[in-house]
Amino acid sequence: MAVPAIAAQTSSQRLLASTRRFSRWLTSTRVVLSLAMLAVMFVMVVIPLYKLVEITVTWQAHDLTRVPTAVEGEFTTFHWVRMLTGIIGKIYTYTPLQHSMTIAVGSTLLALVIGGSLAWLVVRTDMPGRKLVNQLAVLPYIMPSWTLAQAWLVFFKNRTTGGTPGVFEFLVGQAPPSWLSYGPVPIIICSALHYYTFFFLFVSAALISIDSNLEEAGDLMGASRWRILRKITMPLVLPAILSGVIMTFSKVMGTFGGPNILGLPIRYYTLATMIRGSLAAGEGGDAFVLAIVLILLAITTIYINQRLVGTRRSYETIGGRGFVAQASKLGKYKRAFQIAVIIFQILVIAVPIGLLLWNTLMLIDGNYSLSNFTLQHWIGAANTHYNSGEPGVLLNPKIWQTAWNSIKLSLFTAFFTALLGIILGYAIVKGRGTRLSKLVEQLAYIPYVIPGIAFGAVYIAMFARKLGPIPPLYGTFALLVIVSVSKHLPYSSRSGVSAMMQVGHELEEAGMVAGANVWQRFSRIIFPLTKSGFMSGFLMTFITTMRELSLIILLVTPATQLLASQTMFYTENGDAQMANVVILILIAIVVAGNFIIGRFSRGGSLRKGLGM
Amino acid sequence: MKTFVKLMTLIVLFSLVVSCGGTPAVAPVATQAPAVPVLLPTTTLAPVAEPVLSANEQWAKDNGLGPYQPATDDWAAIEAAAKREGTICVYANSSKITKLQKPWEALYPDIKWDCGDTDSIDVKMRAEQEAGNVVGDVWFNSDGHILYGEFVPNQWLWSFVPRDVVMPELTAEQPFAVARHAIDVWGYNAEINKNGCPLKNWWQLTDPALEGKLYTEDPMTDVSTMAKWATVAEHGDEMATAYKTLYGKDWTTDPAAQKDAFGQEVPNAGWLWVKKMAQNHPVVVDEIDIAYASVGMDPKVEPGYGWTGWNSVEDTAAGDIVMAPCLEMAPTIGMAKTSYLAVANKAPHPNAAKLFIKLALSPDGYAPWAAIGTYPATASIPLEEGEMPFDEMLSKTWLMNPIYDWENAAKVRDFWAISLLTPK
Amino acid sequence: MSTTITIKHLSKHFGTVVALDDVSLVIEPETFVTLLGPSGCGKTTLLRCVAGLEDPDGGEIYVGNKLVFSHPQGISLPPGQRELGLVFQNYALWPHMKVDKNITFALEIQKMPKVEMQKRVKESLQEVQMEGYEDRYPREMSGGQQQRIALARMLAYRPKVFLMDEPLSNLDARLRMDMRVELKRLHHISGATTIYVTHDQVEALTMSTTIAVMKEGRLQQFDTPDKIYHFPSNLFVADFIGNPKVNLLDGVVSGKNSVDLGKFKIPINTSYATGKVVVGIRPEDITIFERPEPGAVEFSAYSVLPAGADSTIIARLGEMELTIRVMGISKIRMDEKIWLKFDPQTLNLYDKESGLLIAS
Repeated sequence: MAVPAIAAQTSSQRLLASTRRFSRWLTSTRVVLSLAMLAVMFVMVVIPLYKLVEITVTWQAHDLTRVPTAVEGEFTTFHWVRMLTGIIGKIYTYTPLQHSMTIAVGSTLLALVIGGSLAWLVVRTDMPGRKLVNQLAVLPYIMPSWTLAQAWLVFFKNRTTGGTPGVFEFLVGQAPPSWLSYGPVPIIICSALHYYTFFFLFVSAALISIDSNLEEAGDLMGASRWRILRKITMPLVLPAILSGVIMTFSKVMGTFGGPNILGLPIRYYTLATMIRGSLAAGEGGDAFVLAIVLILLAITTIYINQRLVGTRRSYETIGGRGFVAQASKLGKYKRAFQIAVIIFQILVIAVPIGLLLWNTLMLIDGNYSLSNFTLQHWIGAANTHYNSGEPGVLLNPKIWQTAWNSIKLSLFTAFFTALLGIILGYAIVKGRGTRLSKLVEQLAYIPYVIPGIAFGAVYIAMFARKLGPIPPLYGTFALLVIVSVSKHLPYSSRSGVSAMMQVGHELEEAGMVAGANVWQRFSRIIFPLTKSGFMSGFLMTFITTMRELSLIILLVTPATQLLASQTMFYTENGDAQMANVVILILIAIVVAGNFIIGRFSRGGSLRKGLGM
Repeated sequence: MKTFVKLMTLIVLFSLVVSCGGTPAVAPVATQAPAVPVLLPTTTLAPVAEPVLSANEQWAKDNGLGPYQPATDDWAAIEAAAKREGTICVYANSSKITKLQKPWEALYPDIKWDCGDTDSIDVKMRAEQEAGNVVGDVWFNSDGHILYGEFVPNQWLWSFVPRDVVMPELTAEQPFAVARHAIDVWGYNAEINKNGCPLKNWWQLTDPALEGKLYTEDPMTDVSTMAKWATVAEHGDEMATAYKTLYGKDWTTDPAAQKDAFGQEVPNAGWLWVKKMAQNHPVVVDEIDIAYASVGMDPKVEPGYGWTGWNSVEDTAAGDIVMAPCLEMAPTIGMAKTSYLAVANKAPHPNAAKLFIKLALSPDGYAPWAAIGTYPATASIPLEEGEMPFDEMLSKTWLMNPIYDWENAAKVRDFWAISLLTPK
Repeated sequence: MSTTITIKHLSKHFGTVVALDDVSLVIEPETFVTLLGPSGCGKTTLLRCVAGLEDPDGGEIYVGNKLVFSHPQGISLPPGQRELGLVFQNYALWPHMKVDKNITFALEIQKMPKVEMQKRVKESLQEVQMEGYEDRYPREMSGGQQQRIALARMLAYRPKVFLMDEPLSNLDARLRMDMRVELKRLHHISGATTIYVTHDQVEALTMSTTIAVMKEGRLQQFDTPDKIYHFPSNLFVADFIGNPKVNLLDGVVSGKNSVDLGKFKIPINTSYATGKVVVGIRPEDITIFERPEPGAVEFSAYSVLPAGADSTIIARLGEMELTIRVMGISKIRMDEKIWLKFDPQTLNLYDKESGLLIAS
């Protein structure tokens, strides 16, 4: 039967219809959330970026001493010219850049080798004790990245920087060579030992998901093990490796802690340490130019990754439940491998902690005799001769306050990050394919490319003054929370998206059909189902925030001091042992937190938190 | 990815465009010389136009600070006003500030003691002034170059010196109250060198034999160390004389005095010293470590010399490390780093601030920092036992000039950075 | 319960892909209408538009007398207000809720009193023969059981219209048969207007009052199963419906009521047709003779596939291949000569160009 055509509309009717459609769109949940997120990210991400660029192209107060005719606030190419050309450019930009690259490349490669090999051993061989290795592999990531560097210093310190001899010298009688104590070699080693966890997790997940049929086919055709590895396995694992490479490379490029501890004594500057140094010297223009250089580098790395991995994403073998049919037999070397690996892992964790602990039990740094044994730094009363007159750490109310600050910050950040994650996930997934959704997703990704130290620098500039309705936040706890949450945006969006996708759109649609409104759908369907993802994200964020240094080093004030920055503060004041006590406490809190939250999360875990 | 790149480009372009528009940073209009109140004659002359005061100047005037400080201090009124204000917030860069809490509370139990040991005071106060949200009442900090170079032109700090305090070194150009001078010196290992410091002249420090044995903080990242090298540059004439004394010839004959491969010129003997010092690659150490480093613990290893605070001597008294200052160095035995006291512009508790400054300049206020190597700025405060008399100290050390430092520190830093790369 | 669903000129596109192209349909009250077609034909999109989970780019939808969607007026009611029930292909049971909570979810939204809700739960579980499963979690049940619960969930709040999106496609063959029976009975008992989406034409034929066949977003034919089966209105429908597939033979009209198929001519009502045509012959409408028969054409048995109750025989004549269906186990051997006879009454003639039915 023919259905009559619909009557044509007058233009005013059309206008009314369009208005109705528009207002429905505007008030739909995902659009409201998307717009809200856009606004939030605009303030937290876009404006800082803009500010960063702005400062590098305007005259700053400090520049007037060099160029008296400059007018503060006016446009200038001075900073860029200065930092990119001539001998100044070489000293302040290119040399640190080269150092940063060296360290990033070295660390990434070394971490890849270590992590990849471990992954292979755990997933693909019959080495005994694999489960234990699996669990231990995650621990180095929990400790702050500069813990190893600090321990290294305690051990390998030599006279180049004067001061007291390190443990090595004490044990061996001779000072270690400088290239071993300071500079790129130890920085690379320490970074690699911290980040190998990434590669371990990524590569083992990839290896597990490979459908063994693919390799068996090669085997049946008579290919050698080696050939199979090269031609079949490697290409399939490549995307995972590349993801690990990108993450590690970017992080190491912007890391502050290690290079600060091991590079500064021999003037081995990296971009991150030069940024802080420039800021300390009042050279804001210099510092932000370097920050932008760092950002551009990060973008380039990601771009390269996209080009290499982008087309290969489809290599996820469909239906590859992966059973690891072929476990390589290690034969008589089984035990040897197991022992070697477990010793290695324990070393990487226990030795640094042990060294730090030993150091904290010495009254005067460098005096290794028994008479020097003391608990002063832990529970000693205030004594003007030691530690600038501060009491031992456990008795020090300042430290308790600082520890509480750190815990508070981590909890708040973890909570908001996870919450934002759900919101972002909903907004992005619900609007999959629309421009709005893409925009939100892209914006959320930006903090990934801004190194922590640059973020911190910009936030000082930005939030010093009132920003619209936002009061000036410098020196407040709120600022630290905002900065931490912003830095975690890409992570929270990614985990939120994956959590939402796991929930599946049909479950929410069933709720819609049943007549539930937005709140009901969120509270009764979405939140309960994303709980485990929420907890994993919470855990992950808690850990990373507790030990974050680069991000907050420029923003903390005595009122909002955090454990991580407190250690830097002590070190720079010459109270190295106090610093080490605080580090140990930090590690203890993080490990405890990991344990406690792991108990509560029922299904949440660090692995899940990392998105695998 | 494409969208991402587009977005970034947009942001960059946007910033460029906006900054071309050039909205200058917030800076109040500074009138030339803050006007001293003019007493108008009572005759009916055409009234002289009073100079228009900026908002900050008006505030200073209302609160009797800076050039508007009245000829006598009405302490009763000030105290009453301070009690009404109820709190004092001091930003001090020394942890010893906590020792002033008790004396304060004894004197003014009704006025709450807040804030205290603070990092990056200049950053914090700059932020507060630009935001218009002032929390800290008192600047109790060194960084004189920032104080005079940036804060004063912006009218972010106002001076206050109690009228009954005699502070001879104050000038119209540098009117801010001085809390103390801490002298930095070259230290040596007195245990090994039992006959005193082997060094008698600053130029000996540039001897290649001492490479790797000189310890200082990193001037590249520590402004106050850089300011000290700037001070050396400031005293070019004296350095020239010292050069002649040691080597018997003119400093211009030194090969390093020539323009180097990077086109750097050497304006005077002081700059020459900075250059040669850089070429000697002093070891970069943290402040307290210098005391240990310059003496070392193992007598077999020849210790060097460290540039550090004179008062570090007491800090290292534990154990058997002995560091002593080289007191016969030509042309100077050291430099005085100055700590200043100033009232923040638009401070919430200006009268409490005045009371604090009064306390800080009294013997009780100086006591936490009293040590050999530190000097108060007023002759009325007694010195430590065995300390060099004030006048002698002034004649033998260089007082750092914050304005010179402000204008030259950046240049000296670049000069230093480049010199590090030049061969000897 | 008399709810007519009127679909007027719906269009929908996703980017450049056209999902619905001017689809109009009037679904009579209490009927069981199946939307049938291959994947990508728009049937699911159409269902989701009616449900309110997608918004078309043109057209109107009425449920009963209520205008639930109108593009020209910019109106679109949210799904919850359209008084429809929906069963998803993947059941969409909320995994963190037990069966009883799954069922009462919608009722709680409506603020039904507790006693009433419990009654409803019992009733709907009875209707799907899943009594006693109130306390189970979805993951503790098999696919078939979950599907029933999904059904019960929909039944519980007594919607006027049932919408079902390929609810049986995730079940195994045996279960599917059983569920079809149940669904048809449920529809019969409840009398609700039902829209059912499937790609399985057997399902459509067995369950529906009427079938709407769709292809690439356009409605091909909207008719009873009988008419669709015997008189498909175009080549696509003819080809899509029927298992085994219909035989489609190219030919040319030659003279009155005769089509030249190349190898032989076939008598058929040609009506007004001229030129290139296609003849459609259902496999069961071909009679096989094992001896020459007047009017029958000689073929060779290419393949014989007996399957219990009937047998499928593939016959060949040169390039031409025909599929024939006979009852019982066939005794014909491969490569045997057979003679095939066609009944003009059962043949359908299509225009080659347009694919449309000319005469039957």
